[in-house]
Amino acid sequence: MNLVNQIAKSLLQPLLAILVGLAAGAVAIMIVGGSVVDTYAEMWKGAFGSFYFFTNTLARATPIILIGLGVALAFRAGFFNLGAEGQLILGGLSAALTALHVPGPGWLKLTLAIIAGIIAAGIWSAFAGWLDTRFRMNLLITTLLLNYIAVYFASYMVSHPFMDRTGSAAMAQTPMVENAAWLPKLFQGMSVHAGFLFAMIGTILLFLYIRYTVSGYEVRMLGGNPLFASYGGVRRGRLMLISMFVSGGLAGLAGAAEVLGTQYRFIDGSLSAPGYAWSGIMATLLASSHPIGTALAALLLAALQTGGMGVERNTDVPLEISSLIQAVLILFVSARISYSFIKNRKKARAAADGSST
Amino acid sequence: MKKQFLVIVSLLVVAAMLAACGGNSGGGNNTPNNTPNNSGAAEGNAGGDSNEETRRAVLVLPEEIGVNPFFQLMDEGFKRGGEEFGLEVRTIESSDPAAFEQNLRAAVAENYDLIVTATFQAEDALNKVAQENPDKTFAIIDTFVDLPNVRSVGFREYEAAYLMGAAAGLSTQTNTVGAIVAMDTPLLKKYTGGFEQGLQATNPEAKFLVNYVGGFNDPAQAKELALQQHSQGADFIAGMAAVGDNGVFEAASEEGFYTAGQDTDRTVLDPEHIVLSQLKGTDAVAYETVKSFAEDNFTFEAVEYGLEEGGVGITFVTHESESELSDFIGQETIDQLKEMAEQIKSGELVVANPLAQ
Repeated sequence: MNLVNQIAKSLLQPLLAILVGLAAGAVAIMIVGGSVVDTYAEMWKGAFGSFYFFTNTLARATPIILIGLGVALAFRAGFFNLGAEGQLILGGLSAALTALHVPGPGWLKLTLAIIAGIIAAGIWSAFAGWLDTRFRMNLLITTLLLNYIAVYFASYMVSHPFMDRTGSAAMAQTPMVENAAWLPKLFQGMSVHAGFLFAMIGTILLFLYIRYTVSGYEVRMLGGNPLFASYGGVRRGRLMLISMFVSGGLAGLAGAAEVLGTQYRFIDGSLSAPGYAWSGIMATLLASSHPIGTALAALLLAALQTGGMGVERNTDVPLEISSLIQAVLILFVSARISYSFIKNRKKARAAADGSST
Repeated sequence: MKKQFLVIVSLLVVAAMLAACGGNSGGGNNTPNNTPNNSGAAEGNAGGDSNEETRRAVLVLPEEIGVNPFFQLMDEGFKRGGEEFGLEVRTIESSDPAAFEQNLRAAVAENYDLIVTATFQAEDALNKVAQENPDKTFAIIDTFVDLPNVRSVGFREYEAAYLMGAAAGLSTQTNTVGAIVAMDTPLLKKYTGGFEQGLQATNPEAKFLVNYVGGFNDPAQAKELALQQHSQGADFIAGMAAVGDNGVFEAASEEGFYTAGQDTDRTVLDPEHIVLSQLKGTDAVAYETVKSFAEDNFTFEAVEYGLEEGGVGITFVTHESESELSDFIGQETIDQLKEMAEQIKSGELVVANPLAQ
C-alpha cells in the first residue's frame, strides 16, 4: 500500500506537468485556428500511429535516453552536469574520425569508434569535474561553457582538416564512414538502430547500479547529503571524477550511436540542432533522476517531437506546437524545483532561527 | 496566502507566454497559411474523387524555409504548379538532418506519388531512401544524384555568370574586377568559371581577382576580402558568398566601388552600388518539375535549366528590375548583353561548363 502510494505520488507531478503542457498546446492550436482533436490525433499517429512511426520515435529517443541517463547519474551524485551537448558532439566527432581513419575490418572499426566516443566525451566531462575538485571552479559554469569550446572545435575540425572534399557539395562534414562499420538497423528500412539496445541496456544497468551496489549507494549519499557522505568516508573528489566520466561517457555514446547509426558521418550542427542534449536533461528533471523514469520521459519527449513532425506533415498547424508543449513542461518542472528549493531554504532558516534563540 | 500568490503569478506567466507564442505562431505561420487553398482543394477532391484520383506531390526541405529566398521561391513555384495542374501538394520543412531523413521516409510511407527535395544537404538521405524504395518517384533540385528513380534538376549558373563577367569586362575602368566566393569547391566553379569566360570574351586584358571566404555565413570576412580587392584596384567586385554578400555590399557602399548579388534581385538594397544581380529561378524549376510530372513526360535523368528555360538570369538583361540602371553599366552594355543572352539561348554562343573540364 505504502509502495503504491509512493509511486503514485512520484508520478503525480510529472503527469500533471504533461497535462498542463497539453492543455497549453491546445490553447495555442486554437489560437492558430486548427482543430485540437485533429492535431493531437495527428500527433499521436506521427509518434505511435504505425510500426514505422513507432520505430521513428524510438530512433529519436535513443540519444535522449542515453544523455538523460548520464545526466541522471551526475544529478544523483549532486553534480549539475550541463555539459551534455559538448560531450555528445565530441563523442560523435571522435567516433566518426576513428571509424574513418583506423585500419581493420568493419566490426573492429565500429567497436573502436564507439569506445573512442565514450572515452573522449568522458574525459571532457571529467575535466570539468577535475576543475571543480582542483580549483573549486563551479561545475555548473564550467560544464556549460565547455559546451561552446566543444561545439566550435568540432565545427573547425569538419570545416578544415577533416572536411569531406570528395563530392561537389560544400558542407562542413566528414566523409562517409564505410558500410561495414555502420551500426546495424534493427528493422529493414526503419530508422531505429542498434543504439537503441545500448540505451535499454544502459537504463537497466544504471538502475541496478544505483539501487544495489555499494558505490551506487555512495553516489546517492553524496547527492543526498554531502557532509554526511564525507563523514562516512566517501571521497568526494574521486567519486566526482568517476561519475562525471560515466555521465559524459553516456552522452558520448549517444553521439557515437547517432553518427554510426543514423548519419554515417559527422555533420556540423546535426547533433546540436535537434536539441538532444537539452531534451535529455529535461527527461531527467521530469523523472527526478530515476533511470527507468528518465528512459520513459525521454520516450515521451521523443514522441512529442516525432508527433510534431506528423502534425507538420498533415495539418496546417506548424511544427512549433511540440516545442511549445515542451516549453511549458520545462516551465513547470523548473517551477517545481525552485519551489522545493525555496521551501527547503525556508525550513533551513526556520531551523537556524530555532537553534539560535 | 502566499501559496495563492504563487499560483496567481504562475498563471499570469503562463498566460503571458501563451499570448506571446500565439502571436508568434500567428506571424510566423505565413507559409502554412498559404496552404488552405491547396488543402481545401485536396479535401474537395478527396470528397468527390469518384471520377479520378488526385495525384499527390510533396516537397521535403532539409531546412526551415524561414527568410531564405532560395526556399521561399521554390515553395511558391511548387505550390503554383500543384494548383495549375491539379495535384495535391504539400511542403514539409525539417528542423535538422535526422528529422529530414525521417520526413523523407514518412513521405514514402504516406505514399506520395512524387517526392521532391532540394540541395546537397539532401543528398545523403535521398541516396539511402531512394535506393531502399526503387519503385518510388523522386526528384532533387540544385544538385545531382545518380539513381534510376531520381530526376536531378540542376542549373546552368555559368550562363548567367558569363553575362555577369561580360558586364564586368565591358564596364570596368581600372581593368581589374574581383569576386568574393564562399568556398573553394567544385560546385562554385559554376560561378567563377562562367564569369571568367565572359570577362575574357569582352575584355581580354582585364585582371580577375578571386578570394574565398571559407563559409556561407561570414559577412565580416567577405567584407575584409572585398576591401583588399578594392585596394588592388578592382572597381567591380561580384559577391558570390551567400550571406557573406552582405559584407561585400557594405564594403562597396563605404568605399564606393560597384558590386553584384546572387539568387534574387539584390539591386533593390542599394541601386547605386549593387548594380547587377544574378538570378536563380528555384520557383521556375520547382514549377517545371511538377508540370512535367503532371503531364506525364517525367524522366529519370539529369535536367538542367539555363537562360533558355528561365532557370537562371540576370537583372536588366533577362529580368526587369525595380531599381534604376546604374551609369557604371549603362544602357549600351545592357543592349550588348541582351544580344549575348539571345546567342546563348539559341546555342550560337556556347559557355563551357566549368565542372565538365
